[in-house]
Amino acid sequence: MSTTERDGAAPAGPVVAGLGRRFNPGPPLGIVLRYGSRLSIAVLALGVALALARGEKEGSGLRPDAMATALWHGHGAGVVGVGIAILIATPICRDVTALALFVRHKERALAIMTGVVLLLVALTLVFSTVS
Amino acid sequence: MAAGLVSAIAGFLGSLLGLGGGLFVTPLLSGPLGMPIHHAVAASIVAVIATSSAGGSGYLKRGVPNVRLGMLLEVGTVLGAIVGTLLGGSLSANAIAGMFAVILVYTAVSMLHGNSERTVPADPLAVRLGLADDYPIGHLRLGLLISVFAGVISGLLGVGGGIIIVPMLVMMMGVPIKIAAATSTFMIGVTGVASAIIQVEQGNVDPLLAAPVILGIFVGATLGPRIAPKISPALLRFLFLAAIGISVIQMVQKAVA
Repeated sequence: MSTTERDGAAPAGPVVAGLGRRFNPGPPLGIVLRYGSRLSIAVLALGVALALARGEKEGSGLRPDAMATALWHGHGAGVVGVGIAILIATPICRDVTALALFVRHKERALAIMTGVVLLLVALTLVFSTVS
Repeated sequence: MAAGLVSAIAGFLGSLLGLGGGLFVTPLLSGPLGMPIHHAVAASIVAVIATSSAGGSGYLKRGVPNVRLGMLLEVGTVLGAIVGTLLGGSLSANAIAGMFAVILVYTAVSMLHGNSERTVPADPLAVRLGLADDYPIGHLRLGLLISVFAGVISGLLGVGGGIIIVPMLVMMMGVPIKIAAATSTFMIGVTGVASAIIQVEQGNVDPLLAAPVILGIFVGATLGPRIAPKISPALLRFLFLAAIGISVIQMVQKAVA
């Protein structure tokens, strides 16, 4: 019987080799990564096809305002920008999901570590945007 | 189109050899295609996120990575990636190319030497955190420190960092090799995100240049594992040495230019 079963909470994933009786957040995180990567690759491919069809040579940059303008004009570069944004957001969503699961399963130390990673990424985003 | 093709070759070679495509894509893009090395590094790190997410999801489905250990060590790699990317922005193209050549040579030596599995005394902190029950995990604090270094290399050169993380996990921390490789793939996505955010803000990511690189590496890395069983070990060894040799020549030429 797993720790989570003893605690009365539903286990989020199976118990696997290397994790023994501990809660394993792997399966739900795998779902986030699977759909995030598939979506980003599909959007990127669409954007590249559109950019090739229109003969675009210049990128729009990846700032939200530039991407919105490119999308508004139907440029493939704008669609590519959205694809890259989804790609970058996917591991962040994975860690947000992990944080929620660790908190739910009272895995305090791992929740703190995951929180630190997210904080570092958030600070990078804020300072990069400000600078 | 050329960037996509070159990246597909890099992703294919990388996955055949159990490495990320990032190790070969930067020398190819900055060498024959003449892309500025800072842009090649930026495109490569964004592509590394794609291969980590796609590869990581496959491993997670089969329950291979040690997620708890990976998420712990990510603190180190993310911190290192931020430092490495900021450092990379202030270094000349020659300096980056020189460092790349050194890492390629280290990779060759490390791959030819091999990672022998070993059992290590369990670190009490790893036991307390329940990082693994089937095998002891040792030297957790030192592992965290080396993860920072792996992150710096990843951020600086746009590579996945697996070439440092996998030997560390196997030979120093006692993680079985298949679990170590899967854990490294799982970890490097969020590490790449920290670098990618800075690269975007520094203006090094041109979407129309980065997209073919991402798609190329993704396609190449998807095909590699399917074809790998049909390739003889001798041919694989030749491909590895040839790819490393050509990449080193490219980078040394750039470093001394």
